[in-house]
Amino acid sequence: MRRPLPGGCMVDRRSFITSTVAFATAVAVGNETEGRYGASTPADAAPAPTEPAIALVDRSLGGSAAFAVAARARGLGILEFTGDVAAVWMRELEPRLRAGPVAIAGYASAATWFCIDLLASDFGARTVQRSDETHAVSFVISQSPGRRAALAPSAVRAQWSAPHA
Amino acid sequence: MPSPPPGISERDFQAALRALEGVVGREWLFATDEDVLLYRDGYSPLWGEAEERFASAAVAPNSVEQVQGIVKIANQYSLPLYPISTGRNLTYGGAAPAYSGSVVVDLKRMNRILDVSARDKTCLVEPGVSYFDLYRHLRTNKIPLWIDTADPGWGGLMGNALDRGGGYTDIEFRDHFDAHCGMEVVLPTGEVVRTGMGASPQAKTWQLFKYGLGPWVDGIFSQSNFGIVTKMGFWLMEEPEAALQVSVTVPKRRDVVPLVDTLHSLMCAHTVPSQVTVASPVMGGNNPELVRLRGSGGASDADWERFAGGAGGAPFWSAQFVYYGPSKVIAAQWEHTKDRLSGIAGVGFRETASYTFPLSDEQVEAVADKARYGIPSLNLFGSRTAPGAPPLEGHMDFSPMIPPHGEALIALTDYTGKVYADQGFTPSFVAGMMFHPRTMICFHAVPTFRNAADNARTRKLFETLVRGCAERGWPIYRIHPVFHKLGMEMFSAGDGSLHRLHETLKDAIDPNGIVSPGRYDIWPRRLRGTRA
Repeated sequence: MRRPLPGGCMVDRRSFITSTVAFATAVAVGNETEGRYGASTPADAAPAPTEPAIALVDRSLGGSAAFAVAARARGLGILEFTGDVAAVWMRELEPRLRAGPVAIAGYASAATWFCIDLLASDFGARTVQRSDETHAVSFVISQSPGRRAALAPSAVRAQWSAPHA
Repeated sequence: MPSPPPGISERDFQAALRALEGVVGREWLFATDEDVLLYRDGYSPLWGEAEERFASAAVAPNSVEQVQGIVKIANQYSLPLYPISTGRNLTYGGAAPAYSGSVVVDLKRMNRILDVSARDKTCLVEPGVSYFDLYRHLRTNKIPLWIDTADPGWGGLMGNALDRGGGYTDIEFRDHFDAHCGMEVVLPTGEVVRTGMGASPQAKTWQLFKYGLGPWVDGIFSQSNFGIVTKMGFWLMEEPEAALQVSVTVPKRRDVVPLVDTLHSLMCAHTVPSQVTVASPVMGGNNPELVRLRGSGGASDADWERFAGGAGGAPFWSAQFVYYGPSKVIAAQWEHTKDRLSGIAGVGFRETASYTFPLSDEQVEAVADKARYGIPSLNLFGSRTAPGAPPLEGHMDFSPMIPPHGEALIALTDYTGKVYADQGFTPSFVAGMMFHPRTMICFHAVPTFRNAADNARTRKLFETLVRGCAERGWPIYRIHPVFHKLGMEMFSAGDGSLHRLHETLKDAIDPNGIVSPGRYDIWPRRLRGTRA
């Protein structure tokens, strides 16, 4: 679903949080059966969402400068790249996800979002917001609520539901 | 809730999961619907259909001993396992098992770089070590060695090597299975085997000499299901003094014959060290008339050449490759290459990039063609999707292998283009990729969808391509698990004697048939005939 964005091309912190809360509620509907594998997370176990601390921006895309300015004004650290996100992934994103929990806002091509979403899923993260913009997609990928995954850090694992923790 | 593997009761499945939990701890057993979706093949040609391959659970061990424990339990319950390393392998099945209901053994937690020797130019890694991990380790520690990365570079050394993937640097490193030296394998019985010199307990040459003593068995652990590889050694490339990337162009369609013959000769003589890509800017064009010609199945040279040359026009073919080494040697290699190719009328030579190493981080970022310099990149995705465009639904790679002959490249593209067009698909752009000096792999993107009707069409296209190319002498080198049976049928010499040998080995090595049933159509005795 396309989410209207303040300023026409940016996501503010409030919309990050609102959408994250909505997502957390949406995924928290469970059919838990104590002690049995295959059950889902109970609603009251859903942890509070994490606010994005950093914003990933592909500076080659139209609207990226405005997104970066807005994100910086809201206190987010900016990670800029041009086209290929691999170096930023190795240098910045993966170490932060490994230490987690962290949430990452982004303004990039659909292809870059696809890559980051898949790579971050190994660390217990998931896309909690995605909006198609004119020149890009904006998104938030968060480790909270934590998804069970092989490389999820201990702080994210602590958010897993009790029967699986 | 995920279904138990076929033939295993819910009660036994739950008991097996509890036992697995006892081995790895509760945190590392994943058995909810959401958990197993992480291992879904996002590009599956069976997306949403009853036959789509799903895991029943996943387990993430952290040590060889835990892998042994998992194998022991699998034998007890006849539980099918599907080991993955980093689990990418997109277009060839991703992390989804070949046999639905398998428990994925997710080896990402085993991601230790056990050894890097700058002196010997080798490394020893666990299955979860990614190209990103090893590249970062070498950069951070200022070790003057290069990895050879797949492209995109988000996968892992071991998984790519075991599926016989390739890269772009020197021949000694870019055939990733060939670049390995020694492995450790947990056999389906739980026994641990070290291959090559690693079988000699005190040997100091495990990562230096491949063969050890007696039969060399490493090959049976690639594209197979005979064990779970837990360590692998690789040879690494010494960082060269310099590199020169070049482009050679020729104007006529038939010029590809002497172009490829000469490049083949230069590669075999080690004058051209890198992977060579031979592509046609004309045949790959998006002009509707060019697309129509691609699907015509035999347009004349004159038809094609109307679109080549002229003022500012494209050359018909271009070849891209790189020299690595001392600057003086590179200059001599390039001069010799030009001498050898100068007999082709209208040949063009261009230096497209040159580097002196080491590079700073800023210089690395500016490299346009990173994989050719051992730098893992995700740029390939960006090149396929315009900014802001919705992501492609997906595709499979159809990868026939042909001799290094220009005639074969023309014949292949004529044939496959017509198959695409006849079945209502836009013919794929095709290039001849000389990963190996003596063959070309010609990747074709076969689109996959998120609806059954279109995927039925795409499966028919894929099968036609596999069968038609094999009949013409161009079988595939690697294939998506949904088509493992089809692929192996193309290797039917001796009434399928190779396949029977594979299954004879399977019976001997994995009597309970627990490791990756059906991978490359190798089935354990208890499941033969089901071919699920």
